[in-house]
Amino acid sequence: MTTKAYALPSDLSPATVTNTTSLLRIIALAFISGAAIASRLFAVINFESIIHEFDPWFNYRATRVLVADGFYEFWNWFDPTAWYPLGRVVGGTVYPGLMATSGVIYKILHALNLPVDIRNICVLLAPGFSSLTAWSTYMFTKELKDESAGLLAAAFIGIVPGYISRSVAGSYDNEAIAIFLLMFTFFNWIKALKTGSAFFGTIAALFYFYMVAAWGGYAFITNMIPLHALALLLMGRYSSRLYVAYSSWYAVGTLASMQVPFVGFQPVRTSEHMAALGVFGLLQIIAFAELVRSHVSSKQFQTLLYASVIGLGFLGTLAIIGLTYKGWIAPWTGRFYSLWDTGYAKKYIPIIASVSEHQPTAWPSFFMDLQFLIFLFPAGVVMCFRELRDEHVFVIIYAIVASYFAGVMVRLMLTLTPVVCVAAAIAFSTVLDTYINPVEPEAPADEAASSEVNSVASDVTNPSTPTPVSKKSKKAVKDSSASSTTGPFGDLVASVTSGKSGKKGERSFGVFGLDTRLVVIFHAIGMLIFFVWHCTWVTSNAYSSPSVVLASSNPDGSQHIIDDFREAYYWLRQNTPETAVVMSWWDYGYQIAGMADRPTLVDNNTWNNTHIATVGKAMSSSEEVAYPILRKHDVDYVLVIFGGLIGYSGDDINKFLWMVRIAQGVWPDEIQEPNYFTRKGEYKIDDEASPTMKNSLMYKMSYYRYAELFGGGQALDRVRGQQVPKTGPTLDYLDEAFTSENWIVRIYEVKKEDLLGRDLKSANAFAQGKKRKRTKPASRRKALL
Amino acid sequence: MQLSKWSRPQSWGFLFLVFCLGLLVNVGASSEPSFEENNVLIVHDPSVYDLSDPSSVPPQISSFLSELSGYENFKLTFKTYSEESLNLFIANEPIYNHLILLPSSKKTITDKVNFNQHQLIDFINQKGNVLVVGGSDAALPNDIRSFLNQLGIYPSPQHFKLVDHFNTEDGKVKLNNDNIVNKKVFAEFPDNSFLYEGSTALLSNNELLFPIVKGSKTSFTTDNLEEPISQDKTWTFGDQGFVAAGFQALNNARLSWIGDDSLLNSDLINWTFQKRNVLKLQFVQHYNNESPEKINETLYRIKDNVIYTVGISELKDNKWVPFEINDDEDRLQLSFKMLDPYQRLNLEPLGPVASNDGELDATAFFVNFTIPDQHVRHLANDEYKRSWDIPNSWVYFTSALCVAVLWGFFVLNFLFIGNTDNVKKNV
Repeated sequence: MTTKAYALPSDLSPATVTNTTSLLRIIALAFISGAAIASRLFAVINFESIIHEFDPWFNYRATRVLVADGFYEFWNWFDPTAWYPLGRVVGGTVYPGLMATSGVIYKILHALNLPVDIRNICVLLAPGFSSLTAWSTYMFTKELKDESAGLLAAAFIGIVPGYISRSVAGSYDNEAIAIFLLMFTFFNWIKALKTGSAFFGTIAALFYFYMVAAWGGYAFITNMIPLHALALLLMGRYSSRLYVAYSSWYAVGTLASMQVPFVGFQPVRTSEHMAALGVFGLLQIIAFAELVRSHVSSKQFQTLLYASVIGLGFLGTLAIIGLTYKGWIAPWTGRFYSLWDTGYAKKYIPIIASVSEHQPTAWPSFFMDLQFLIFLFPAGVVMCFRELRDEHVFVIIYAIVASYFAGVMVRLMLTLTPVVCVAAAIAFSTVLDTYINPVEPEAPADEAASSEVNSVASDVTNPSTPTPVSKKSKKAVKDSSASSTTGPFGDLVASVTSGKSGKKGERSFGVFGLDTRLVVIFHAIGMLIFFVWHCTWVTSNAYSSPSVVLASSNPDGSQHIIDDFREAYYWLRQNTPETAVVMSWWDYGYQIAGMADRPTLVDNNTWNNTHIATVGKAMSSSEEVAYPILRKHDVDYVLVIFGGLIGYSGDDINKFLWMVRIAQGVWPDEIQEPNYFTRKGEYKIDDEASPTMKNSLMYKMSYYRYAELFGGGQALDRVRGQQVPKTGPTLDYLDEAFTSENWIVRIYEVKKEDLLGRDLKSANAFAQGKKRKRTKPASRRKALL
Repeated sequence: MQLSKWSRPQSWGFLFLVFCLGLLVNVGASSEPSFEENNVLIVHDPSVYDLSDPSSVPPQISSFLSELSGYENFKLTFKTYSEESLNLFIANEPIYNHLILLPSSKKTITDKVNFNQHQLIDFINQKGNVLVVGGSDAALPNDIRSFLNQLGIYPSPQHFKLVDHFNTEDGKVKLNNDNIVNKKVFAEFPDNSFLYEGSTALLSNNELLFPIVKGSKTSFTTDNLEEPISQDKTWTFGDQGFVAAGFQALNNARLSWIGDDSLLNSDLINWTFQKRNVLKLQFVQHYNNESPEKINETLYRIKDNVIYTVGISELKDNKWVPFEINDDEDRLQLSFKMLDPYQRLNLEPLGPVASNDGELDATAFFVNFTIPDQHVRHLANDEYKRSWDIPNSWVYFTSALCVAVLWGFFVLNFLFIGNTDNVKKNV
């Protein structure tokens, strides 16, 4: 009979206990869902129900097309207003999962006579799916440890900033639903692997298909599952369960994923998908070998068989390499290389490197996004090593891979977050289990002695393996956890009741005493409270800004809304013809299309590097060079973002060097980055700025008439902290059309050609009376034949 | 893809443009140019030509003026350069349709505020037509010279005149039809010879500017025949010097300059005042050959066969008549472009058609072509062949069917043939 640290009520029937715990579990999950959704609503409360940032604006626009015209029209949608004049085949270059999801929700709600605006569905989709993510994380963790760890994991992922950053209300992006799909696919995979069930394998494949339709990050699953399967094979854990689970997932999932037009034949044509195909082939060979082995007993034959298995695997790898070499299989893409070599993108694909979320992660952001989970995470991984069942191998691999990727790219923090939550929950619940469990370890001295005896005995038989000890202790742990069928919640209830009764005083002190238990538990609860506090603070302050609308605070502490973007976009919408082409840097393409509804040259779907480089060239060249480019592309308006007046640092002058670099990539003879620096190599916009810089269209458009604002005083650029020259730039080929309240958005109209065939510069000079006194033409007409 | 209206060359993706190569014509812009009232302002200097006394005016000028006043709907207004108010605009709207600038002995204009180089440029920008008459003895006021310089016409200064020692008759330079550069505007000299005495001009490389009559090869322009020829003392050499030039702005406003009033002829006047060589694009129609019922669609997809038709009228005797291409060198072309022209195709005449109601007033031109395989709309998913239309797919259909049927056999076999054995064994 084990001794107990505190009394448990003994008059409860086991059925009552099970029912109560499951009820409590459901209530807890409901609260977790509520917390997950509620904490994501800061964005709506602080601002309004608005679509955030850049990509969500395209998703929103596409969803409106889907809802208005139906799925079929959406599928074949050719958008002539994007990438003017090339147009964009939207149906074939988009992951439609997100739009389809909102579309289905919209249709269901309208069928139920709930006329909800599509915008509100889009805004609230991410919070809604976050509760599903919490649930699927619960299911996943439950498979690894138990329900209590699952609940902790669900609570963690519900409010952890690393996930909230991508799923606040209004952040209508693919990641919003993708993390749920990721976790649910992994859960089904684990389940299929555990049970050897083709059913769960197929469910995993279906959710894999949904994931493929929703997010380009599906390649993570495509490589994680084969990696796990391969690791199990190498560990000698081949089983028919693995064979059934993997084969059903791969066959169904691959065929399904090829139905997404954007993916098409990639699963059989690109290197990213070859790992899955290779492992599939390897499994078939091994399965065949196992079959033969079970029928043949000859030892030599088995060796031969193994040799042939290895040989075949080797040949398969060679075949894949050969096919890649021949060009039948596309080699790894640049995006992939940039995961291994962080300097790769900057050198070869500046467009990728220019995106801030593709930069390597800074260390503080790990703590910012994960708080105390980040140091529970390794503990959780160690716990997985202690158990090391198939599913624990999965978590270990996932943890290692995701940690690496999160270090390489900021945005991949998102894929790390779920595994951190799972691992931290395992570690945390193990701590709680140990300290809440009223069953005291039986006679530790005896155990130590017996284990010593055991180890001595095992030393005698097999000096190198301490396995019996660990096995035994593991069994002991299992026994103890099995004996407390009530689980931690029951324990907690019990501990509260026992605290009142407070008997067996001599046992309430010391390592197993109540005091130690209470200290550890209070400490744990304290950490949780700090975690919740931190998450709420980060969410409300850092991750809830729509970035379309900016907020600052007045001297009296009240909120001041800076709404320049919408002001300018609506100006375009209301004052320009519907066909007016707007040129801007690609960051603002989706917003212009979504809010101003005007054709754009380039947008955030960066599919055409040359087109982007053309815009970069126009921005970084002088007016005379830029004007023919603008005319050729029928540009009517040029839009620049300028933060110098109010100190908005994400403006175009700060992005300008990327425009130069991208343009230089295509026209190295015409655009050279060093020309934009001062002689000392500084990036300056004041009097010392280089002539190339001062003559560039971007500089001129940003600082045109800026000095006038200071009425003769010294004009200051608040972002760069530099003095702007008093005599500002002049424009001959563009006219200022609109400048927003805080000067953040400036729109210029491109002048039409001079009707008399002069170049606009001299026409302007003539109109201003700066006529060059010349009666004879400089260039004489060529003699006519 | 959308079709552009003629004067607005902007549309989605590809756009169609009609080009008239080699034709000095004016397509459809100054709509109904001569049907309405035409206000003509004639500015002159009484000390050069006293227009109030017709007998003192040279015969070319008087016949020119009588020809003008004989035109239907033309209302002439005479003003002098020394007039107190010489307005071209009222509230930025031009008062006159056409402007004739005769030579002056003075270099300045009295009403400099309302009549200067900028006002003249505005006049052209507002589609006004200008005829400038130069002269060697009486030159043009400075503002008019400066205005002409902006267009790329650099007339010789006062007292400079064209001299050709090899080709002189009666003290004048002899020109013949070979000197006419642009026969569309200026057809020929009567009797193939013309005695010219007057100023010349240098022309710039402005694309909108074209010479009409050039000086002879051995001619030059100078104001001093006594001294040896030098760069400073001459204005032009050889056929660099032009005695008549034309200009058509992007808004189709026309201007012509002549070095002397003797060159005035009705061909030139009619061209300048938009009475001839004016075309009008009456209609544009395009459709997919496979679905002719859908006219002027905004989007075409790659490999569509498109029939493109335009109706063009020409102005003749104040009436729109079907336009015919008479010159072998002239072509009417369609340019199909996206950033760069992908196709430039000749339009073939189809025959006269009626653009609105009744009269056959336009010629239809058409071209039938295939949309190039560039970034125009892609094939939609239901525009490909169905799977059963592809013979290769029959193999897969057959095998799928075989598997289904064989599985059915297998189930039947399992249920009915093997069953009895199992029962026996179990028993």
